[in-house]
Order: sequence, then structure tokens, then C-alpha cells
Amino acid sequence: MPSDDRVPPGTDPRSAADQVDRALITRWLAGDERAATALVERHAAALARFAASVGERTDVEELVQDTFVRAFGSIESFRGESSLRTWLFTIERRLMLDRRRAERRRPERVSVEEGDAATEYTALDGVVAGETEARVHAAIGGLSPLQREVFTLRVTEGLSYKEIADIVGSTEGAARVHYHNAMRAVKERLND
Amino acid sequence: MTDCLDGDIRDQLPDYVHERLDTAARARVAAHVATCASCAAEVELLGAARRVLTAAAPRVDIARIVATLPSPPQATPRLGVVRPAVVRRQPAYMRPWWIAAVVATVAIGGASIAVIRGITNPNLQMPTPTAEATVVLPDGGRIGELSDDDVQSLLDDIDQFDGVPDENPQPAVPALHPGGTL
Repeated sequence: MPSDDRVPPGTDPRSAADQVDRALITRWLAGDERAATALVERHAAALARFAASVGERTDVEELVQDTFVRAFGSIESFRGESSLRTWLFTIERRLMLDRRRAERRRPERVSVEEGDAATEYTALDGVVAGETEARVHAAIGGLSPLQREVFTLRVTEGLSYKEIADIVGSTEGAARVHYHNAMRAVKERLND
Repeated sequence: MTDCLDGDIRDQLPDYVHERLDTAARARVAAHVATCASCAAEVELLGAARRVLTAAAPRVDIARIVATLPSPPQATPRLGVVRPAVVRRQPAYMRPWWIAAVVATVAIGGASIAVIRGITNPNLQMPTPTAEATVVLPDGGRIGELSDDDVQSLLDDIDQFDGVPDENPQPAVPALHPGGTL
């Protein structure tokens, strides 16, 4: 399959990045608090991108913060089977799902369902400049939450289908299908 | 425009945009994109989508996030940082009121058993109360005849007495018979 053509371990910049992450984790576990700053600097922006792009409307920073607090609280259990960034995305996604479940239980809040995808996404309209970008933004906003998650992780972060499957809790094949369906939907909306 | 029929190439386009293909694969995809209008358009779209999604992300305050993180396991306490002292609660069985309650329960329970046995056993001779209550010491003397030092010594002995049972009393659970009756 195509993923076999990806840069082999050792020469892939991401593999090198994983090694840096592991070294920083080791330093932090040994008592070096500056390693925590370095780890947050390396991953906070990606976590904020993911949260915002899948429709998290408010308190993105708080969500990112909660993700790191939870990760550092159990970092000794991080076995390195996936990259640290994949692990952080997984934690963040669980937190977002918990938030949405809590919002659904509150009757005064608007629930976040599949059909609300376009509505929740409009919160970011103001930050997109240019006609092409605005149309692309609107097209992505029309995706279902799961399609948008997969599309974002593939397009913005360049994650493999295996990594995406680990994060969203599906299979590699399902992640691939979700990505291609999302891409087709975006193209159709742009052609309308 | 119809999608390119080469699914493998299309699958690799995001990796191509992120420059995560090895040299051979990159050259193959680049050659394809140069001749395929559909894939070239998709590469353009991937770039635009990446820009849009990146621009939509708010900035986060790194220092604020770091300040909330737990200390590393082997970190030495930071100078000037006062951590609240951990107040350990005494177990219930070590508190005075609990000890007093246990002593009272044992005393009342013991007295109740003695009374019940006296009622149900007619052969048991109950002491006849005397008109005047007197406390007789083991050596035959009366408490009123003790000197102040003797009284103090007696009180000290009482203080030494450990009235607390070694083990906590077990809760009495009524047996449930098969019919569901107690």
C-alpha cells in the first residue's frame, strides 16, 4: 500500500521528532521541569489546530491545557507504541467528546450532533481571509464531525491512516475511506 | 473535473504535500502531478485546506499551560514555593469520642447481660443492696480511709487501664434465611 513509500524510520523527520519527544519525557521524569516547557511548545499549536478545526468553539486553550495536564499526570504509562503527538491527540479527542456529552446533558445548551456540523463550524468564519480560503473553509465545515477529524489530521498534520485510526478509534481502512469521502464532499461543495 | 483513477497516487498526495515520501515515491508522485490536472488541482486544494485549518487555530499561552502541569516525579521543591501541608485525619477509632463510645457500649452491654442472666437464672444470687453504699477495697479497707497519696496512686492506676479493645467490633449482620426472613 502507499504508506510503504513513506520515509523509512530513521530518516523521517517525524521519527526524529519522536526521538526528541522521548528524550524530553525522560528528562522530565528525571526532574527537569524545563523539558515540560519544550514538550508543550512542540505540541500545543497542533492540539489547538485540531480542536479548532473540528469545531471546538470556546476555551480551546483550556482544552489544550487539560490535555497536557492529563498527559503529564500519566506520562509514566506512555509506552511509546505511538508517537507522543498521536497520544496527545487521542487524549484531547476524549476530552472533547466528554465535553460534548456534558453539553448534551445540559438542557439549556445547544446539543452538538452530526447535523450541527455546519452550525458549530461557523464560529471560525471570521478568521478566514480570501475568497478561495473562505469557500474551502465552508466546504470543510459541511463535513460530518468524524470526516472533519480525519480530514484535519490527514491534511493539516500529515498523519498516516494508522495514526488517525488510533486517534479516532477505527481501523486503518476505515480512516482511509473517511478521508476520501471527505475529500470528495469538499470537492463537490466547491463545485456547487 | 473527474477524479484521477490512480488511487495509490491520490492516497499519497497528503504525504507529498507534507514532504513525507521517500525520494523514489516523491519523484513518482511529482511526475504524475505534472501531467495530471486532477491531482494537480487536489494538491492545490490540500494546500489551501491546510492554510485554512492552520489559520483557524487560536494561539495558546505556553507559559500558562506549563504553570498548571504537575511537577516531575523526581523534582526538588522549588524555592519560594510553599506547598500546603498535608493534614492527615486521625482514624475514627483513635478519636476520644469513639473510644468513649466503645467503653460505654461495652459497659452497658456487660451490665445488660448480667441483668438478663440474673432474670433467667433463678439460682443466681443477686447481691442485696445495702442501705448505705460503701466501696470496699481489695485489702478490706474503705475508700474513705485512703490518704490523698493513696487516692492519687489509685487514679494513676486507673489512667493506665486500657479500656479500648484490641480490635474493632465487627458489625452484627442478621442471618437471612432461605425464605427471605430474618
